[in-house]
Amino acid sequence: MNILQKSRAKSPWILHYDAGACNGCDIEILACLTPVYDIERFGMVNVGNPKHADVLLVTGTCNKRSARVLKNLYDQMPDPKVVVAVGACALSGGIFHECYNVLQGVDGTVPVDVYVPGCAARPEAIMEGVMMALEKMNQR
Amino acid sequence: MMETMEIKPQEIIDIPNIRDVDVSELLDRVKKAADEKRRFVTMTALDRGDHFEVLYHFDRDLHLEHLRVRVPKGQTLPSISSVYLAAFLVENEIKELFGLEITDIAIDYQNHLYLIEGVEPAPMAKDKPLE
Amino acid sequence: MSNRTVIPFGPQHPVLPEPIQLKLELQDETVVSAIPHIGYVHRGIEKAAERMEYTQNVFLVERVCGICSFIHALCYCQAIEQLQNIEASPRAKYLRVIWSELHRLHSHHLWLGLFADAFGYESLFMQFWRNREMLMDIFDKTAGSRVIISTCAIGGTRRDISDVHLQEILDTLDEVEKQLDKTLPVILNDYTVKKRTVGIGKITREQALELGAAGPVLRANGVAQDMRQLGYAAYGELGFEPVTENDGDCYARAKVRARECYQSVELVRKAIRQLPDGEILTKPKGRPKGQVISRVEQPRGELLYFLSADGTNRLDRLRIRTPTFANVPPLVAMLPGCELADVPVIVLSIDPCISCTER
Repeated sequence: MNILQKSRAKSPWILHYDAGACNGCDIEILACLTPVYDIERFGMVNVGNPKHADVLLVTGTCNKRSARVLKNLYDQMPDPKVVVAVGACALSGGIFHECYNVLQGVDGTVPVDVYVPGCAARPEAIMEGVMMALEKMNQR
Repeated sequence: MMETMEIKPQEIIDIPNIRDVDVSELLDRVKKAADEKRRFVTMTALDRGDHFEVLYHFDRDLHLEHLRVRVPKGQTLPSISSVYLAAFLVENEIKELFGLEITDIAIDYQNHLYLIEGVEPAPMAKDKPLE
Repeated sequence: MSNRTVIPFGPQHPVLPEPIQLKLELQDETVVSAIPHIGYVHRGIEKAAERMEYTQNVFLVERVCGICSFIHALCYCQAIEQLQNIEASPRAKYLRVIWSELHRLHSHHLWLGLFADAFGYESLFMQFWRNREMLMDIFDKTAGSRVIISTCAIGGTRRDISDVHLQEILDTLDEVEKQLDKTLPVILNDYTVKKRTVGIGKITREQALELGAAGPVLRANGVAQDMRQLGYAAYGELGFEPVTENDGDCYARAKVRARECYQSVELVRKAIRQLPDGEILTKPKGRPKGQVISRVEQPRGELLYFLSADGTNRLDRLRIRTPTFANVPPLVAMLPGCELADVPVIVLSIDPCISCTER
């Protein structure tokens, strides 16, 4: 592992986009940032700008309108980048998979590296998912 | 099917305080509700096959009152957003999801409140598949 | 010189956990008009509710909103109970109040944190969210899940709360109240916070009523309307008075929610003290037939469910009107005249829940 990879793995910046979730997973991602789970001890920071981000956390079933926004955000992120899909909806559409405005899962829109299951995904699972994504990023 | 037959017919429950009105007198009725300081709660549309049933829900001091209009398919319904501006969102929703043409909405999203171009219009109508 | 610019606010914005877009028309730094553009979270739950069986819909409506999932399920179950002409047992009614109020408490903590973050008070955001974790632990212990607890069922509740857990809830609430005493004065008395909230995003009482505002937005204008006054579940026996403020600005809305936190703590304590023994689930009989409207108070305001059932095991129509849907027109009225930098604070002051709004 060279110094660039090592430092990247120690300070991944996270971009979160809600592509159509019920909020359950979103508030769990926010809970990761706050004192009890404190994701910042791994050097992770939640940023609002896609050009600053290394990891894209996507929650929710993608719908036809948010798919375009999601694609835009993904395209703006610099390489290397990884995508973590959080929650049952982001994986397959979950309980909404047969709704008329729902695309089943976000992997039809952006390539997903790590799938975090759960409805809603627990903060521990989300953190584990991000750590796995970082390993994958360093193998590239 | 057998299970349905065993069950005793129940009394059909309907919502209280409901008043049927004609499309032509709707705006006058709504204006009256506005004059009496009723709070507009929402509208509900139901697809009844050959016509749409639209309910207007108003609240005064925690009591709900409702107006019901029946609009045959293919006919239009006037918007009440000139009286209650708050109705513009729900009117756009009904127009888009049911395909009921509502005229003169204060802010008209031209059928793109929820759905983007190129998708099947009026997905909530009964003749559209459930999935 | 006229310098009108249109700025899109959202759909992806650092202060918004959820996507909504506001097209802001600006004259220099001042907002002239705002038009909301939604549809980024629209799934089509109302249609899905016609496809699923009415008993399965409980799980569907819980996922309309992950923040107040229990209250959605409660509203739906109460509607079905009315149609089937059954009543939840007294114990179930009290358990429903306990879980509802804990949800309100966690939602208000969540909001107070996000609101603090919106005017740049990050440490306060962390404080509120740390306190909120105590409440999440209660959900974890009593229901086995942190967010979507799935304890409400048609005819009562699916789980009981044991005496050990009831005592734990009481102990946690003491701690929560102690922490609120420390953190809330910052929101309510701090000079810089007041500078950002007092007089910002003001609407009048008449506007609030005309535009159909709901919940804390309405009560911040002095209108004492809270669906808990209807006395559903056990609220009728607990004695309930809505919290109101008169100024109709962001500060008044924050104050309403801050005072409601204490009120929720008291309601849970009272419900635990008066909790009767007995069964928790009444067996439903027959199939729902007819039309019914059910209203409950969500953390964000009045939630209305309209159900139309024709006696089969599927519903004919399920209509969900959520409080944020009602609060979007007042938001559009709050924004003109404010400065661009105040837009995030004003948007958050209605406590937007977009996934509720679009379903």
